[in-house]
Amino acid sequence: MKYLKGALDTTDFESVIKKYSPNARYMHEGMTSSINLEDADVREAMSLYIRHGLNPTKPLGKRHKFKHKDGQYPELDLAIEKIGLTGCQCVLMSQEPGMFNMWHNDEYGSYGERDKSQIRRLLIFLTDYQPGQFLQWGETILQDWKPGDIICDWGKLSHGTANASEHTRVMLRLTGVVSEKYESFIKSNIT
Amino acid sequence: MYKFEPGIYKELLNKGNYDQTFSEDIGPHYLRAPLFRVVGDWDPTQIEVFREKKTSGPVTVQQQSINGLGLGDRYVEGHLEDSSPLLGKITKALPFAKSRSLVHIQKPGQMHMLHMDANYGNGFWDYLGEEKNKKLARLMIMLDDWAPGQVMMFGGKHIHHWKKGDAIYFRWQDIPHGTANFGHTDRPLIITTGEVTDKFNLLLEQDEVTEIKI
Repeated sequence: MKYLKGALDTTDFESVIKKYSPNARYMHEGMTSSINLEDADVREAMSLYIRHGLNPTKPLGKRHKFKHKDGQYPELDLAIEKIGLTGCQCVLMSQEPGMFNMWHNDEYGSYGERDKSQIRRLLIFLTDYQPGQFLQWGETILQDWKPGDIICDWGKLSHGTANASEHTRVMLRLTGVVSEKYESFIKSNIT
Repeated sequence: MYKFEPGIYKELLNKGNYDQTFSEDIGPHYLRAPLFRVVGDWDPTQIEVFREKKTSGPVTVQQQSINGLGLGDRYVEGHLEDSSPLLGKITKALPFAKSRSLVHIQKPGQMHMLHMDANYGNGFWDYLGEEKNKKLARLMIMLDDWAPGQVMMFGGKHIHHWKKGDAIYFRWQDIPHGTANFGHTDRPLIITTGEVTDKFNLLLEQDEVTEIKI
């Protein structure tokens, strides 16, 4: 897992959050209209919940999917272009107080049938860290992030999150295919 | 964006003497993790609460009631006397003159929101009078090794990677704290409040982690 401090600190995230709020919906990954059991992410999410006696209808948080340059979040267009992933899947996601995402590995199933070795995923923080917001990636507990900080390239590293704070945590998740531009963005921003 | 801040949380936070910086560097006055370690051969998989009991009052309810959560979403809770008998051996070894213990088993998918504790055992310690603040201490005895996805927070400090038997001391009256289990295994602990003894104060004064064998 890589941490890019302040990589996108000039983006107007407050404006993005204002537009996101009315669009945000509680949903499971890949379960926008039906429970698609062809999708490995959906199967994993369902089995995790059921294995632990949890209610699979309990949401992980809210989501809003959009496409690069579709006019919904123009503030993010430049940032996404700068990052340089090709075929970029864009999801704004929030974790409201009391929500959690169980310890898991990403299967990248929602990204479709592609060569998984070429898929990269990033999370861009849109809100400040607040005490009680728990993010664990591998052995690391993250904290003190700022809007514009990025975590990326964790591959199959296990991770999970919970929000025991009083504040909603908002992130932009990008998933796409690696490119030279992307590699160069990571290299120039890694701390 | 949504912000949930129960008035009682702020009120209690302002009543305590914590500086509210939420810095990761929190002084030993507030937190010692661990203060000492209880060493024994108990089997964590055998720990059970036979009769559940919610001991918390309205102050806790108010701080936990968010997005549909309630007291039952924090952990499985019971009195020590209503839990696995093997745990009595642990609490007897603690450096307290008199103590009161609860067992908390936090299941995967449960969390206790960041909160402040208001009470001192619902009247149990009232005979100590105004001095109870100084005469009592609280410990969490971790009954199993840490597993990924289990996190506790005291002030601004995350606690994880604990060992079975670790006794975590914290000033519950002063620092906000919260826990979550987004892992795959139960997180059992004993939470004990007790009257401090000279032995307890000695442990607080020393830096090294003493082992108490049972």
